[in-house]
Amino acid sequence: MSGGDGQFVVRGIPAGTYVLSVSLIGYRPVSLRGVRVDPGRATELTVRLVPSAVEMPGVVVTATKRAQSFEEAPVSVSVLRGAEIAARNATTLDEVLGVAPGVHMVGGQVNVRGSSGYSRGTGSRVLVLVDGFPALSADVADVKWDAIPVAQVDRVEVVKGAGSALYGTGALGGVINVLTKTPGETPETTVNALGGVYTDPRYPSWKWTDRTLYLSGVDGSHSRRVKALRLLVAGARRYSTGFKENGRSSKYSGFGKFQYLFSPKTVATLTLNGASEDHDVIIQWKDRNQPLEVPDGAVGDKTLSRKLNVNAQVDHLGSGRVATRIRASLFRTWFDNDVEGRQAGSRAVKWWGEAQNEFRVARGVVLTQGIEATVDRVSSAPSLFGDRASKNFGFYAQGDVEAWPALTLSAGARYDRSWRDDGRTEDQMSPRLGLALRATPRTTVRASVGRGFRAPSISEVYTNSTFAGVPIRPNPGLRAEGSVGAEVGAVRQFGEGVALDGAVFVGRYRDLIEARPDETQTVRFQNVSRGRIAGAEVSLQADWRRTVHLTANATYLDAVEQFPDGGSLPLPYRPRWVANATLTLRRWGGHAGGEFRYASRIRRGSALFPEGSRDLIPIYLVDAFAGVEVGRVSAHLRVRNLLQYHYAEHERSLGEIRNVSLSVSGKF
Amino acid sequence: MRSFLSFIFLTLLLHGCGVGHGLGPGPPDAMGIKGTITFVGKWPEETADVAVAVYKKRPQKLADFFAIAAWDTAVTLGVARYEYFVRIEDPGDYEWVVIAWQKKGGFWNVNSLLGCYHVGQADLPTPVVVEPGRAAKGIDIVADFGLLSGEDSSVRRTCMGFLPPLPALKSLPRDGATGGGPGAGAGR
Repeated sequence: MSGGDGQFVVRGIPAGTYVLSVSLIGYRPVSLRGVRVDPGRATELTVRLVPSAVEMPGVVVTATKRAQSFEEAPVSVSVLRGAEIAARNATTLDEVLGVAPGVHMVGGQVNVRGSSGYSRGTGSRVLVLVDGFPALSADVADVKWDAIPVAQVDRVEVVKGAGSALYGTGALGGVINVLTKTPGETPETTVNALGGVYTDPRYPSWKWTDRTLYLSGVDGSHSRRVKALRLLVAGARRYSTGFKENGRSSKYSGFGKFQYLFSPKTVATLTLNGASEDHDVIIQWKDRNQPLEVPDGAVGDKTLSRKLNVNAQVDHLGSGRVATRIRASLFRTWFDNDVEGRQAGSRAVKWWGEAQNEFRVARGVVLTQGIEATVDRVSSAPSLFGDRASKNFGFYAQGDVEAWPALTLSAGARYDRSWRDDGRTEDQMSPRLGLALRATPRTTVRASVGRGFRAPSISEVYTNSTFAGVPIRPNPGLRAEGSVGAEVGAVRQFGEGVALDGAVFVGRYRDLIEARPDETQTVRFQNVSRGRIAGAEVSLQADWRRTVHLTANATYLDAVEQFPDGGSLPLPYRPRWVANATLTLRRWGGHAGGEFRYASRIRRGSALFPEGSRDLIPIYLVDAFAGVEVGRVSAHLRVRNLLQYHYAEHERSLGEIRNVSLSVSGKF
Repeated sequence: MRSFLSFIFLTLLLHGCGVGHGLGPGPPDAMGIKGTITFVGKWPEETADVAVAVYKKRPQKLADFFAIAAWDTAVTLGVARYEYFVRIEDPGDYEWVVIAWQKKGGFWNVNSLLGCYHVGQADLPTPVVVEPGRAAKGIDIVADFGLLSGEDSSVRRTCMGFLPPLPALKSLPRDGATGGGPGAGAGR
């Protein structure tokens, strides 16, 4: 990264001819080809960036597991910037992910183009990474949103479509990579304080307490360089009463990132991240006339959870043609539940390691290959999962070829083998083909086809418990679910003020894992069905004189479950339409605006709550926001659910009611 | 182009403003007890009926089984879950809320209880408090057909462990002292 004045130095590269890509938010990315570096001499360049009112993603690192221009990626990628996340006063990342095109949240579970539905927190059909390290827990394979340091997020890359050709299990519907900030060269301290209140519900009969319901938080970070060591340390404290009974949450978290420059060619990075949360648990509402309360027997249900991540990475630039990365991580989770009168807990650990090589075979030809291994171990009561273990090994290779200056072709594949401690093994082969074509200077076309798979989580195979009175029993025969997906997309810029991105996609799913009751109303996770998800996505950015800025996106899904007799039903928890639009006015150093979010009615929910389908109405939400920046201090005001629209993301669970929050940040 | 896009956005915004308020309260509840029955196990083929029965006091002798305060016999058969409502005439504490099963051609029988309302691992059934003019809600009960086997279990001990030894009820008259109802050999 360059300094704030634009000065940059790239050291340690041998003589040769290179392509230099330069990008900056608010400017059009530039790729300079034919940049020549002579032996023993420095090449000086002046790169002029043209302001762009629309913010194109620039360089992305997740689409092909290496840094490349967004326009060269053969798949659809959306990017959420840290500044956008901070301006929304979000305390966890799942609160804001839904604004990314193609992303929809249901009960805290992330869907990319309808991939996941809702399984009450068990399993994820989207692979979530933090700085490229796996962030799904070893036992439940869910995302611990509170463990992701939202204040340290630099950007989030959302790669859509089956991604197992590079990422293996879990990348059935897509990959979300949360990239944290890099320690800076100059010392900097930031402090942020957040406070907010929930208003009363629209209907006085729904008001369940006279207490003021509020949310609060404070976080701080410090970044500096000490000789060859750059470090970033941060901590956060958050507390919320929640807006429902049993909605209380209290969290502490800490984050540290340390980069040591051994040489211009070798950098080691160590990241430590920990979080502790004590929160009450809500499974369902009391009834529709008291939707903000829980059944009498559930008052006081709670969970105590802790998470610890240790990630280590070494990057080495070899001869100038070879870049090697070696990574290892440990992800430990602990939780203890006291729910529905039962105490149960789980301790889980995920060990993960990867070695990757990026080899520039020739000009315009890059070969990326790697091996990866994962070991999951779980220790819990027999009334939950028991003591379990699973392992996965994979190796992958991908080639990217610049067939012409405007055309990049990619082809790759990955082989995975997984083992469970009950003796079951599975092999998976996941190929992918893709292309990116710069049809005109302002238009890029992309296309890809690939395979994805997801091995069942330990919780899906071995859960032996009761949920809301319903018994859930193990299914040792559970297999991996798989998909084949394809998409065609294009992005075009119209002048300096408008950018339009569109894609059509289709995915076929087999052996989908769903929780289904049998004739005795005992629930097991089973490979029940085949599915097809087809759809289209369009997103738009428009800007007028840097004063009025509009972003809008819409996704259409035709998601069906297909039965052996030829019949079909809608896949559960997939709305047919999802749309977002944000209008921002910028003036006098500040900004203000509104955000609109829409999700059409979910046509099919869970077989366990047939009467709850009447709760699944269309969702219309309007937020209002304003912000100002004065020197090194900024403030953001946000009113969520301004019109107090009452809705449910899933049965028996009222969505967030109107709340007002204010955050103030300072940089020193 | 920009004017058109702004128009689209404002249309969406105004549409969002005009679509109503979303979910709202249902009809006001009458005074009573309300909750969800979750059925566990396979429905026996010989099922004639299932009912929710409410008692002010836990039975201590045979005659107490006839003192049913209220009941709901409209339980849908063969389902996994059923939302029930039992209308109550007098506010106060109700100590025993049970799910009773009736076999085809048989009578309501205290030995064919499927479950009762209790919270957590309680030793006794949990009393339900009905306040004047209001419904006690969230009184959720698990109805387990496995209890029909007569085998000992924690739920059986909680729901029926306090009962005194009772003779078989098959020979009892159908109508109880308070007008009859399930749970005491009384028919509908």
